[in-house]
Amino acid sequence: MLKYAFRRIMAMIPVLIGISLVIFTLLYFTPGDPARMMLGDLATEAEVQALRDEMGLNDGFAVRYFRYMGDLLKGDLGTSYVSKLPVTEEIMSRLPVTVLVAFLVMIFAVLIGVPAGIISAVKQYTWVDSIVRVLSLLGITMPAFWLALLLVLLLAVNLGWLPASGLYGPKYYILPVISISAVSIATIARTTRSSMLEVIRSDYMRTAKAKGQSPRVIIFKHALTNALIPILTIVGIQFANGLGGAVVNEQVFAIPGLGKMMVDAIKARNYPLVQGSVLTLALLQSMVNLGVDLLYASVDPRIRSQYVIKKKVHMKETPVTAVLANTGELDGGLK
Amino acid sequence: MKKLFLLLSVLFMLGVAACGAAPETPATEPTSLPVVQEEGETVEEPTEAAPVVEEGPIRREVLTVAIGQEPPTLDVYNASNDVVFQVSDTIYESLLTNVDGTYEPWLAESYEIVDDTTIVFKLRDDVYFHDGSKMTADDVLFSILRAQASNFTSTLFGAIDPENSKVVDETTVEFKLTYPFAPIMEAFANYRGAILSKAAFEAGGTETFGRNPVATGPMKMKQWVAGDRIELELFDQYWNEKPAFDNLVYRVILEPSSRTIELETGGVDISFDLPTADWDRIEENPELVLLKGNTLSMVYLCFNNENPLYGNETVRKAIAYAINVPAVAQTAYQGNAEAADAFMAKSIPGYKSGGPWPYDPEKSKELLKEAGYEDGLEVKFITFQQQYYNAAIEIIQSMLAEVGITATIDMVDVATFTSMNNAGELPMTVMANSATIQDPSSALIAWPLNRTISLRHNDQHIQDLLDAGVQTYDMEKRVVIYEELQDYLWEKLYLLPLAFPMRAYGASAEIGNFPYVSTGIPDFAVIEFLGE
Repeated sequence: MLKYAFRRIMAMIPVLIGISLVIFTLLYFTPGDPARMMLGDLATEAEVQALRDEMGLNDGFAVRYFRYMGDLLKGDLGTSYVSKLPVTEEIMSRLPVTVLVAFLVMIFAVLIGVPAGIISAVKQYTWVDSIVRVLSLLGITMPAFWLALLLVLLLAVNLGWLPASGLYGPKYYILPVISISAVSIATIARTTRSSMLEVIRSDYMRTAKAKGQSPRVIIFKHALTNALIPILTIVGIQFANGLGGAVVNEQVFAIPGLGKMMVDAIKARNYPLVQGSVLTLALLQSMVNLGVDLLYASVDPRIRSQYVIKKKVHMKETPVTAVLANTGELDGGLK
Repeated sequence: MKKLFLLLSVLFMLGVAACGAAPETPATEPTSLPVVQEEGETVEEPTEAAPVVEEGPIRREVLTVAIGQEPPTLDVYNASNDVVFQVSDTIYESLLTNVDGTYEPWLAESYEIVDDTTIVFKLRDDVYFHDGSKMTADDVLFSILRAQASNFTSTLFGAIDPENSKVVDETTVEFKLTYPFAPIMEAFANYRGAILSKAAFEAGGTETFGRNPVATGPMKMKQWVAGDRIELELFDQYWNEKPAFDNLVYRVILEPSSRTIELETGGVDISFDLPTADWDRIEENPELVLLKGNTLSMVYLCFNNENPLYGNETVRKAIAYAINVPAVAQTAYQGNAEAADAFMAKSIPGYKSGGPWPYDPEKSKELLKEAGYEDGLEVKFITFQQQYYNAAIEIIQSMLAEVGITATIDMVDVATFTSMNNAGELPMTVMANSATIQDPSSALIAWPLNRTISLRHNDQHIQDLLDAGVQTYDMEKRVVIYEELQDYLWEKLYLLPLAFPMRAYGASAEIGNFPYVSTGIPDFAVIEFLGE
């Protein structure tokens, strides 16, 4: 497994190089001039060109790209055109907040969504199932911006229970996490429900019930473990999306996260910051994908066995092993 | 399953550990106005009949302000956003101050306009920078020469002669101009002519200085938490009267409605750039005060005068007559703008009312016929996402349809719009100019021939009048020149003035001596607290 993980990490390098080329090319050919954006409409052309020369924007594509890649290999993501700060510093000032919020959203969504999906599947066609399905639909269709403002108006303005914005302590995280996780909870609940329903109808579930096992054992030991793969996939996707930053909610709750920073960087054509942010997010998402793959192996022995190098097993000869060896069902040979 | 729970537990613990990566919590959460009594003040014990009386001005520990975006830097010579000056207003000071149109010394003790191209400043001898060093003529010369060289302030200080301006002695500096430039005095009195520490700038460079400016103002940098807030603290060695608060915190709250909510819930004491939809609610709130007024901006319909269609004066006027300018201003700005009757805001010296342009659809049709477009005309707007400009364009589109002009609207992102604007590719659009200083030359900044925006009038007569307007220091003569210019602009109608938008910021009712200013850069240092 460790070798597999190492190979996956090494495989990220060409992927990141490819992403850097794609994003650099896209930005190069996108209309808009960072120097003009900084100086404004009323700066003279001479002033704009002087700034472009200073920023190296008048160099050709190849010169700029290889200069960028050269710096990247030295760990230098460049300097923000707007703030003149190193891009690494800009990203690291916001990334921990984004990761923390995404992590809290994921945990909250799993803690609510998975049990809701399980209950909905077990109590299929009852009023409980109907409620979960309607709430899931609401969670997916409700605009995040609208939900965020509703929560702020109700809980912060009218009731005064929670603060309206900022992140100055644990209670400040409550409203953003609830509003951002609504979609995730709904998606996880629906996925859990459908996956559980598929498993519940399996023959081995009927066998387990016939054997007299308790409902708790049937659901959690047999059903949920076999239904986990799609759930893990969805959780991974939701977490990776969250790392990109919930731009709208960051704006509503004044969260100094990565999403809004990236949107502003794109608007201002702040190329180094956009490139650095995209590469950082690509790396994080690759790590999340790797983590999900390793979790697959953790929960499903069939997947785990694919990562294990098969060894020749020498076994003592018995009537059973002899028969199995003859039929080819026993790998390796007999002692 | 056990392994899964173990994995989740490990992840959870990692998440808890990551809580350490959360933004630093301030020593005290930003709240409003805890009271700090002046030393030596006594408070009378309350009796049943007598109220508590506090003597002397009320001081507070923290004043919290909500701003709509994070400043890219606090180096005033490396940015032009209003928010940079809103935050740095108490950090920096200038040589002069404008008191009802008269330039009074501030960091300068006195000044002398020797001739049209020579100004000498005698500096105060008791001014210190935030790092404890004394302000000298060297720092003043360095600061103004930076202004002269900066792409962001060259229109204000471009006349400064860097070769011949010099330090005369420790407290005297002589500025030479390469040509007479009347707005220079307003520039010296403006927050865009700030004085900073030469040594501190040279030691740190623009990147470091921009995050930790060293100047002479009553507040100095304490902490900058990226994306969240900027904290300033009182400068003990400040040469003048200190503000009524010890700390000034600027919270970055991007969402306009969130800024209103924070103001209403007491999370901030002052909030800039409030959405117009919230103005009435704030005015009706007895705990808040809405400060609103005109800005230095003029919103206008811009024609591309190099385009054969819009370069035709008859066509421009035909379009203009089809537009009900007061209706556009009222509707697009939801009642919070005045119809533009001039080419500059009313508070600018030299303002002359010549409009608004009359609404006459029949005249419009006559002019269209005269120009050969009796059967109709197709025009195009290109714009970017901006609530008020978009509303104005849509209203104009419907008005033009009534006279047979079909208008299409293309929406692009702001960077593309800016590029197209400066490449002269916008056929028609709605945009605004805002004066950076209260001088007519600044209000008419879009008109010089070297501007590359899509206006492109190529009219030398306009340039000649602009040049004449800055070359005399006699304000009465300048007003005559600018009035003549404005009459000419109405005659040619290279653009159509539409609206003078208003702006509002909100404050707690406990804050006094905090009037609205049209620049949008109020002086926090003079704030008083009125008590509960």
